[in-house]
Amino acid sequence: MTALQSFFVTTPGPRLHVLAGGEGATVVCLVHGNLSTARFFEPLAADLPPSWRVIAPDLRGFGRSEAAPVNATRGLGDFADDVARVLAGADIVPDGQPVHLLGWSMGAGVVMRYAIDHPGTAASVTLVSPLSPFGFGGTRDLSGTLTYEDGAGTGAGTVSAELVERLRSGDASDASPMSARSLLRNLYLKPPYRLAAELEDALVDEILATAVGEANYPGDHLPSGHWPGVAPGTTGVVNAMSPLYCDLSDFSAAASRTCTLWVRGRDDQMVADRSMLDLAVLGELGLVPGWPGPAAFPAQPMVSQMRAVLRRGEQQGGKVVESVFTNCSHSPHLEQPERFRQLLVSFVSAAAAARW
Amino acid sequence: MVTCPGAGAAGLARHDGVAIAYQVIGPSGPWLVLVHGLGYGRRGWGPFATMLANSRRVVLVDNRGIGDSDCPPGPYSVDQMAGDVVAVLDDIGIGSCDILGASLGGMVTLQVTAAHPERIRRMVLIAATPGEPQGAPMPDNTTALLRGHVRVNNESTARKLIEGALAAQTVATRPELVDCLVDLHNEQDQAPEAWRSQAAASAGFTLRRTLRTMATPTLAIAGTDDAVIDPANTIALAFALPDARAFFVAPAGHLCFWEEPELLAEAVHEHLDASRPAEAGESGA
Repeated sequence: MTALQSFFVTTPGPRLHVLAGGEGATVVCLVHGNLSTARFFEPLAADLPPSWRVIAPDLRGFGRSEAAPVNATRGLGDFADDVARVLAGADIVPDGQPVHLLGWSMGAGVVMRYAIDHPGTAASVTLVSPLSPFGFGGTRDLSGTLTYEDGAGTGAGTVSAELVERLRSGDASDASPMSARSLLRNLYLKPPYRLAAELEDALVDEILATAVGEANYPGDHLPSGHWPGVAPGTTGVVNAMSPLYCDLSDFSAAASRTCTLWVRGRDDQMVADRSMLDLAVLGELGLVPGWPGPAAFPAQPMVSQMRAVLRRGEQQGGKVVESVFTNCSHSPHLEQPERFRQLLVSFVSAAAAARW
Repeated sequence: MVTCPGAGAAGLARHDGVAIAYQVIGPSGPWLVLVHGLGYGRRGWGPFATMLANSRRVVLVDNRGIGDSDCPPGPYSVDQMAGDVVAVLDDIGIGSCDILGASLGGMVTLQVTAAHPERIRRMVLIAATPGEPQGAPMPDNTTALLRGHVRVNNESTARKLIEGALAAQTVATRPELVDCLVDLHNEQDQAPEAWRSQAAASAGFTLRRTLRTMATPTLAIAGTDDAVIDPANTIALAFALPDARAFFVAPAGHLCFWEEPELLAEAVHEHLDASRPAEAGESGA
């Protein structure tokens, strides 16, 4: 049982909150996704091998970290810099020691960005329900070709105004499908699976700690002549995931020099070849009016894009372990914790023993 | 009910005087040979084989000791069983092919590929191990079983073994699948001596060839909840073989191809249909 300690890393840049535990030689960095925090890894981190040292930051604008603005034109670069600062500043990782990186959802995108920006530092990479390497929405094919050149139909302007308002007002109830609790129950997890009440309450509070505004969640937006009439602005979390700015396809080169574990839930509604949050799918279902049809605005093949980038990494010498969790949505580490933990431990142990 | 491969062209190969029965299903496409594990004959693949045969000619082999193959006195060895598979290839006139093996059949598959790399285009290993030291140790329960400390001579023992080869969740939620596998066990009616002869091959297996020297493109598959062979072997295989990837399905056990046949068939088709630039050049594509 590893008790996690909470502390802050202050040098330099935004003040970042970190959960860390364990004293072993195998250093594992856990990176959360959008509308979540390091705390989402607490159940996983509580039962990892004693030879591991775990470090999980709250990214800027999430949890207890400072709400420094997100420069979306750098894609996920600001967040990857946060991870780098934590690893360098937390006095945990000896200089130059490779780290096992794990990212969940948008956090997997952050980890891919980090691995691209810091070649040779990833002892292994674990991508859990990863954001497509071509970002979220608005690309039409396996090579991530933009649907519209201004990124219309992606970014902060596509986020439900009600969701933003309920986050801002701190709505911890399950009164609306757009409340944090409902999102956690119905999108992060596959119903009828529920977290224990105490954990659910804690994680709802974590989601509600998100900094809401143009500089953070979701960000600013611009008008567009293309459907649905909005394009990404230049700041904030959701714009940082827009394919206009987020291109992680170079991860294939990073993956060619390390080993990658890819974990996904078969019933994931958010990251899928037909995501229920992709405006193309919502348009096709009639939930967003005026959809111009599959030729003009097709669904983004998110899972297939991830696969294509990993296959390129393999062809250049990388190792990939792929896994599909059935009866599982977006959060295998919360939905099937013991099974996820065993797979992760097997993978990281093998990666630590291998030479790359 | 579960659909099993229908009657197709059947044949009988000979290896060292032992008759090895096989059957070909699937109308056309590249050759794929399926080699089964301990206690399973050609019908032991269930719907998985049918899904693979939709775009391939699939050869289902009865290992020595089961089905319509001879049951010579044992113990058998993986070397012998690999020779049996090669005899089937020769009998059909297959020069090179893809091969897929599960459990003991995975050991046989590794051995066929190690001995005849020029005849194997791509390989799929399910719930396999190269044996120690390249692989992880067998779980104690499996060792006891293979060494004959557990007697497999009645239906309740068979049911227990089958349940142990599935994920606990599968046993709890899909009793009809357990019943189907028990029925299959009863229909196969393998003689206890033949089972022990096959078990000895599993227990004694060590791949002598170094995995790092085997260049055959490989997909290594396991169920996360496999209690019969440690799924860590699948990661070890994927990491040590130069051109290999691992694929896990969760939750599933040793018989993951019975538990999630669609997921596995999709992964196998993708692996076998992929072609390296060199292969694409050779085929003129």
